[in-house]
Amino acid sequence: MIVPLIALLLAQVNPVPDAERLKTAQQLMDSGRYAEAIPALKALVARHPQSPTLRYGLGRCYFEVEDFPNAVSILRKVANETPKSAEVRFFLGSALGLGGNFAEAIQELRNAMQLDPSFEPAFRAFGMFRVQSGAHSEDARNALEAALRLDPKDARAHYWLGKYHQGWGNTDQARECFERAYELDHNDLPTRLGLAQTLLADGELDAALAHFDTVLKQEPGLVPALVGQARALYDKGEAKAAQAPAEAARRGALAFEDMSGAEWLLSRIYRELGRDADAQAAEQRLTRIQTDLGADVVRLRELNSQAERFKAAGRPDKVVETMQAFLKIRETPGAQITLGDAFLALGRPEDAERCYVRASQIGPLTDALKDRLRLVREPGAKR
Amino acid sequence: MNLRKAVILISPLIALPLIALFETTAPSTIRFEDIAPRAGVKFTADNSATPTRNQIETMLAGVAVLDYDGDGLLDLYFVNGAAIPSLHKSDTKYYNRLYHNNGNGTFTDVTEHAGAAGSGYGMGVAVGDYDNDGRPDIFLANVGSNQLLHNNGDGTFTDFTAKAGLAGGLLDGKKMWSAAAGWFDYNNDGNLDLFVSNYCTWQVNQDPFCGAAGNRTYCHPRLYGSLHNSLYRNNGDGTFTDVSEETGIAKSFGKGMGVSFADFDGDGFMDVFVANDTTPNFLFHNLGGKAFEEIGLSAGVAYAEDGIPLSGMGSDFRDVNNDGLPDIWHTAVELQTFPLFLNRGRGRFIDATVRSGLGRQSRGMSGWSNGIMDFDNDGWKDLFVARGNVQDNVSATGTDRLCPEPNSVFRNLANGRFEDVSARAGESLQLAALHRGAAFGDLDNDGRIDVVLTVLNGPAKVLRNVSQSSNHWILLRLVGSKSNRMGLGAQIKITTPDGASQYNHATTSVGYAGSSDSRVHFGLGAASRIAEIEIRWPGGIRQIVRDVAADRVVSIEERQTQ
Repeated sequence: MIVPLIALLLAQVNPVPDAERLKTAQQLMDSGRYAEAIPALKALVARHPQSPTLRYGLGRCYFEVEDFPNAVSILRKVANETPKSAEVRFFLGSALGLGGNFAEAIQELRNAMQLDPSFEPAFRAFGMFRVQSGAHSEDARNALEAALRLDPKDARAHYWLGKYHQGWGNTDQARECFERAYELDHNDLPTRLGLAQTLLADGELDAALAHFDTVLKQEPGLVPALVGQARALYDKGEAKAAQAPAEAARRGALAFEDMSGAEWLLSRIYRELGRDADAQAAEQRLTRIQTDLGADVVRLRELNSQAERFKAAGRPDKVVETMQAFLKIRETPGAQITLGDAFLALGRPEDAERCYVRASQIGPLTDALKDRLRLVREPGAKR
Repeated sequence: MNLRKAVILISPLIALPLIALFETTAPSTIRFEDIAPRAGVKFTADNSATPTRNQIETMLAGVAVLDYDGDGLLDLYFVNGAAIPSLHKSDTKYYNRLYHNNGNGTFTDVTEHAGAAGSGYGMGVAVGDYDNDGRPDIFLANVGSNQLLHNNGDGTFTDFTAKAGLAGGLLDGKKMWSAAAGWFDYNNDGNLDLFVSNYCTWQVNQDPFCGAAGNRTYCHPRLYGSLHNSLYRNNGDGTFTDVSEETGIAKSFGKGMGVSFADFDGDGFMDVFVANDTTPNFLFHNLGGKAFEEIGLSAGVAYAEDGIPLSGMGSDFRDVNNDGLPDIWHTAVELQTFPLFLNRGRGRFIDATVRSGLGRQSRGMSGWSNGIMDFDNDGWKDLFVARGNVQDNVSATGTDRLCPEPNSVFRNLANGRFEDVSARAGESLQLAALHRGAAFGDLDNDGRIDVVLTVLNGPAKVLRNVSQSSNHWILLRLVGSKSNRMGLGAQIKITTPDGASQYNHATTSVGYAGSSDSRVHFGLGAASRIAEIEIRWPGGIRQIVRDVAADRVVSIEERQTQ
């Protein structure tokens, strides 16, 4: 979406050099050169701090160059000044979500959907972040289906609905969605990957391989694609051919699932090839992965989703209990922030502050965190 | 040797088809009908559900088919829960139930007379003639003390648990929660030994809180500690010795569910597969009847294709592709698949879940007990799974899932693939419920394998196999002499006149927590005679019986010499 700044602002901005700056910024934005537009817009914002439209433009530029902390900081102020704008809420929510703050993103996107029930991108983004954050909940599906009612040709909405179904193991529906997304956009790699994975699960190995090959031509190191390619080849009885992608997947794997999947596949491939010593080494590595990481990963995911459910149910006391259990296993800034929020909801700002401070020590001091610290340090702070 | 003498017709009432009119196997349709209501089977597995969501509540209950009174007809034995928190059968509604098969399509509850109500919170049942007296005994895998019910031969049972020393293994001084068990002769000494799968560490009313306020759920098994399984060697005098440590069984910790036996490497000793819930599956390789080596990982049966442990539930360990090598099929829960591991020989299995079509077809299912049986007698073993979600409130958790599920049957297409034919397998198969246990056997000796199912807090089902086909069949009742009396572990190869061969073995340990017909069933397709039956008895004797007519129950006694 391109921001039509100029018509809105020419009337407001003076003198002439500012109008020129504005025109330049608009041209840069129109041609997708957002990074270059930022200095001009920053200067304009400094000279016209009262203009939400200028700040919105700057926030959008930060968003487009994926500087999400700055985008959030600016768009949050704009959202406060223009509370009725679904578009602003959408970009704020999107920036929050892309910055990893799913909880607030969801809230902002929910606001956007309510403000304008015909604003399709908000529905798509809401569904996307719900799915991305692991909450394959009914509201995610509803939002994505609403997005597709508003714009049946939104390939991304089809894709995310496919991811939703894939998360539930509804591979038939997932495949339909990926196929539709693929019809609409042949070039989208995640779509091709999703389609390949569902084809693989359905046993259509040659079709799956064709898509994995295409994805890997463009992203040679993409681990899920390497794992998929290796698995399809192995399932076809081509263990020798499966070896190279499986080994590449093992080298590149960082996520628990990819590491486990690659090692297990390698062990099967090596056994098939009679390389028992290599198979044994892969099996030992797999055991180590499962032992060291497996239990923790599952437990942390459970605790995280449990905390989300308690939060939604208005039980901050239970959120505290859950996040304390989480932090005993692994300390993350997100967990500290969630715990802090729960303390704040319980009227314990000192405890909340301790959590926020700790979060800032082990992670970036984001604007969201700054806001929280400000909040708890205000006299009589209580959310 | 007069081979005919070894073949004793047990079931003379069975009508023989005059002549096989067609020499080709007709396409068959597998169909079942639930006869429980009219058969007088009114059993409900009562889990004593509590608001604190004790993990044990969702895990029951097993069921057995056994001929306890030796009349040639399979009777039914259902396991049941108990009150919580006492874990005592404080009310008759918690009794295990024994139903006598009247031979006319009805059953009579004989529990009280038989003294078979059991005690404690039940899970699984295993049937085996541990004292070789020709009468099947009952072992009960319970949350608390396990039980051995000795068959007195007069329609009653006596609790021999203490005498036998089978109350159950301890870990840190606490009795381990047993989920299932199976009888097999691991050292081929002619006495049935007992394998007990133990599930997880657990204490009544101490489960963590899972789910959301107002919608508490049963917790993920990961939140409970693992246990090792137990192996008891039969001393031959009515007592058993716990040999879990000395045989290496106790070295492996998991969350044991279904246990099944087969000699996967053909060395003459039965091996053990244990489907584990969220921990890697175990394949215990029997090292000459002296010890076991856990080789699930190297054999390729520990994990599903993605290298993540599944929620293993029931298992069966039989040859599905007629290549003479026992394969493994186990069930799991929704969002997973029911893996099929094909035995490729040399100690290796390959995961054929996707290529067999089972991956796609089983993905949305939650499976419990299961069996690999030839339901349409076409000579290819099919698959049956008892289904139901682990959670009884899953639909309230914002998902698309339903708690009750219908059961499923997958027909073996004889080309490495399976087809879900449940939709046309009769109305009874369309009815959803929280199915758990399933036991397989021919209840009316008509050559068609029937299925008995338990339902959590619902009426049990007796699915009579009413598949229509002209296919032939045979049921072999083995009588061991040097080997154990039930012949469990005997490996059988049959060859029909067209030269085709099939393989099966005698076992009652099938699926999850249940016990199936000890007789060995073969569907014969168009073949009305069997050219050769080869039996490898666990005692080592190889016996061959030639030219056997089909469509009957045949009893074969173990020869004394090779």
